[in-house]
Amino acid sequence: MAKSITAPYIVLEEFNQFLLPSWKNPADEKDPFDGGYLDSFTPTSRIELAVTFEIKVSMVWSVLKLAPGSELALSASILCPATRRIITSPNIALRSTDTDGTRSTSLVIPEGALSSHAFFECRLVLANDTKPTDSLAARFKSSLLWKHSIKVLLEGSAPMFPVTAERFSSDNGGPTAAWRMNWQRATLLSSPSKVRLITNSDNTHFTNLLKTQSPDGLNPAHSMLQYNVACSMLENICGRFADDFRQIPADQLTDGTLGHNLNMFFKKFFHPRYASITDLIEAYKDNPEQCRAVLQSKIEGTLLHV
Amino acid sequence: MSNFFLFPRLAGAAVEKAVVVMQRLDPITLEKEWARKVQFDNRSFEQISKEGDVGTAYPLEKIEAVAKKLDECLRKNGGNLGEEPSNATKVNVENAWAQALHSELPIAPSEAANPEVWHSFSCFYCPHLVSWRWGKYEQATPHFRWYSAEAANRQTFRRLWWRAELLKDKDNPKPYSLLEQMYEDELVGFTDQATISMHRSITLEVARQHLNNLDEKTGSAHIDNKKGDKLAPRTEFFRLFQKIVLRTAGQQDPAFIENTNQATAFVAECLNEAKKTYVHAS
Repeated sequence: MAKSITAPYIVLEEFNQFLLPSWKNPADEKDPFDGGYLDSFTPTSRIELAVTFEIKVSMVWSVLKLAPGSELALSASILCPATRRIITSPNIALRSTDTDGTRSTSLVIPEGALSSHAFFECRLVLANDTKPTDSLAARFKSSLLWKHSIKVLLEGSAPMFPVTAERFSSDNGGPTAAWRMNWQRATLLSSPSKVRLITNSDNTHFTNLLKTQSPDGLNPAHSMLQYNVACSMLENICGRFADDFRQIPADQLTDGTLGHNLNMFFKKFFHPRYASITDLIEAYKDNPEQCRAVLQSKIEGTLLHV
Repeated sequence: MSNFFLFPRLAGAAVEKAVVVMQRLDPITLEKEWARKVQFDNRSFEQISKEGDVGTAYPLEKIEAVAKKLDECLRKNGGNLGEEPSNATKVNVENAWAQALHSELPIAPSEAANPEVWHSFSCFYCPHLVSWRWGKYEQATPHFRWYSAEAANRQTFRRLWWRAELLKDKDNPKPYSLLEQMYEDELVGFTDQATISMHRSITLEVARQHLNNLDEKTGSAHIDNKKGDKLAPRTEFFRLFQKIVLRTAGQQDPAFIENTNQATAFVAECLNEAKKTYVHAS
């Protein structure tokens, strides 16, 4: 029995030609992608997502050298490390005699289940014990044959950096200033928490404005703050960090670095208009107002679009 | 949604500054002069704390009532703010705190995942309990038992709520009995890590089978299936068992195992593998 746990077997690479998943968010028709935001998410959202697989059944059997009697289960899950939750779709059963084509399943994110970020995973699993002729083929039930994972940020609950309240000294504008961004100790390789949005705790007028809910759900103070913070990020990408973005290899800006978060910001607001962040930096050098206009056009649900 | 409750969140430089002072004080001073009275740069808790955007604010008086229950838990389990606690007292008190927090606070996992929610307990309602549990720290920066956005699983109250959440056995007449029986080292290595604890039925089954595998007289772990023959130190064996569960979950899909009700068999298989590996290694 012990050997069954550790015996090596053939698996499919995450990106292959026989099995291609895609996630759909039917509610707003914006499909989740790796590093992107799940738009319209709030902790109380109940969101139904659809997952579609393009699959070449015979090729899967052939590459994995599975026994003809093998049964496979294809499924999708959302895993949230912060809330230790996993939400899994019903399994799609596959047999070697099935035809190539599209298979679909769906899952529902219940309210209060997710926070910060989640991994959207698709998996193919051997669903029965089998006796394949090839010694390297999977044979034991539950063997994981393929996994595809994307990381999705949850808008509304995952600020890119900490938001804190402080009393502003006169150097920082005194009691009538409303907020400021602090980038002083930040580098592309540092933690995103080195950047802060600081609101002025003495300016109760402004903090009350931020809390005000209007019947149409729009909030002018929120809208203004959101756009100005986005501008601050744009200016820092194209100014303070421009040389670093050109010099530091992209693979060093891993998850957990400020550079990674700024890349996510770029993807959300400027991709594919600009192919890469260095293209954005060049465009900003030529015409910063145009870049700000693009930013405005992408900030949704605010007064900018009324 | 009316029953999605929002809890006050505490963060920022003013809170960090208050922690730097509080972590140098003894529990009695903290209880008398700081708990529920602490100011943050001359601003009150109500002025400085914030809440999430969507949901209903949970009444502060109810949160305060839960905080008072934590004081009761301390007293009922032999704790005394004026005395250095023994390890056994710490364990008993923390178990009681975990159960009180988990059963009394109607908090959704997405709220409980926010470390700032737990700063309200450690930095405002119950600073004396943090000091009693962990002792004084002479540091210039906040200690993670009080205030931590990054090492959040080590924050005093957050880690206890999550342990209770993950090990609550709804089908057991004593739903928190697994939590009570697990050792601190075992919990740190297992439930505090997200990788496997996302799979709730596997997590519960690991705890159940680990505890069932212990020798009644000695408390050590059986390492063969003829009970009473060979034994291994409990925590050392659990570390190996846990490693094998984690390793196996990389090859056998834990989500599929849960969905097809195979968690018991899967964990039993890992336990057997751990016993064989332990025997070979020793």
